[in-house]
Amino acid sequence: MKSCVNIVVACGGGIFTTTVVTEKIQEILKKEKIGFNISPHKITEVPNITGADLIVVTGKTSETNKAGAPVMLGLPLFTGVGAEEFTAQLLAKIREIMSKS
Amino acid sequence: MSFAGLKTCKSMIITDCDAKSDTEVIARLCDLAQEQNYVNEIFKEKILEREKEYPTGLATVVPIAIPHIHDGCLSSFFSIATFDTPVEFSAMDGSDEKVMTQIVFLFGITDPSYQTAVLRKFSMIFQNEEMLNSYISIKDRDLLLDKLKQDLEDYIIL
Repeated sequence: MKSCVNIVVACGGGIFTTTVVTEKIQEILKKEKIGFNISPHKITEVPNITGADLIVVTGKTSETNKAGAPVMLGLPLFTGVGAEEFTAQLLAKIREIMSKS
Repeated sequence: MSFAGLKTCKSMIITDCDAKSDTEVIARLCDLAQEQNYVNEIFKEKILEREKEYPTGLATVVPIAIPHIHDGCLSSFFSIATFDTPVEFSAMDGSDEKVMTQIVFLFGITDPSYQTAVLRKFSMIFQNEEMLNSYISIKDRDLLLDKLKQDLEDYIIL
């Protein structure tokens, strides 16, 4: 069981949506009392990021992470459209990741 | 100051914009920003490049586009253009759906780590149907600026 999940948030420019979505994820995980590290990146870096358990992107990408971290589209946390459903999916994914040793 | 706001002024607002394309709207707002010395000459080129690669159309409750970048930005600002005839933007989520928008918010951000609060404030506005619709309907630039002041409070620097 992992005690802490490593999340990367990435958008096209690494500015606006990343900043807002990072805050939203921090809020969600604090509320759920899940330990986390979270860091901002640019979408172009997604294939080569290492050490992430989960990558949340806010822009279009067809890239996958070479180190095998799952990639989720987190735009609902920015637009509010579908935010509840996304939050449920995000927590399910994180719990799945954390239950692995 | 505990947080930084974004500069704007009446000159950064275009209502009834007759631009026909995403590129045209962005270019016009960039020219205005350069006249105010908010950005240098590379800003326009970089933000247009970025829009092509990572488009910013958002299918929010009221569809919007939010071009933004930090390259070439000298002081953090936002500008706004509204249209009667919607302008087509590509979607940020990479879907093939085009976003037909009547509002474009264009931002220059010098350092996002200082501007978290104001970016968050804007993200709340982007989820507020009533506010977005009021921005589209107010055709007088002074009145629109007043409305933005009211909604953004201290996050707007005039």
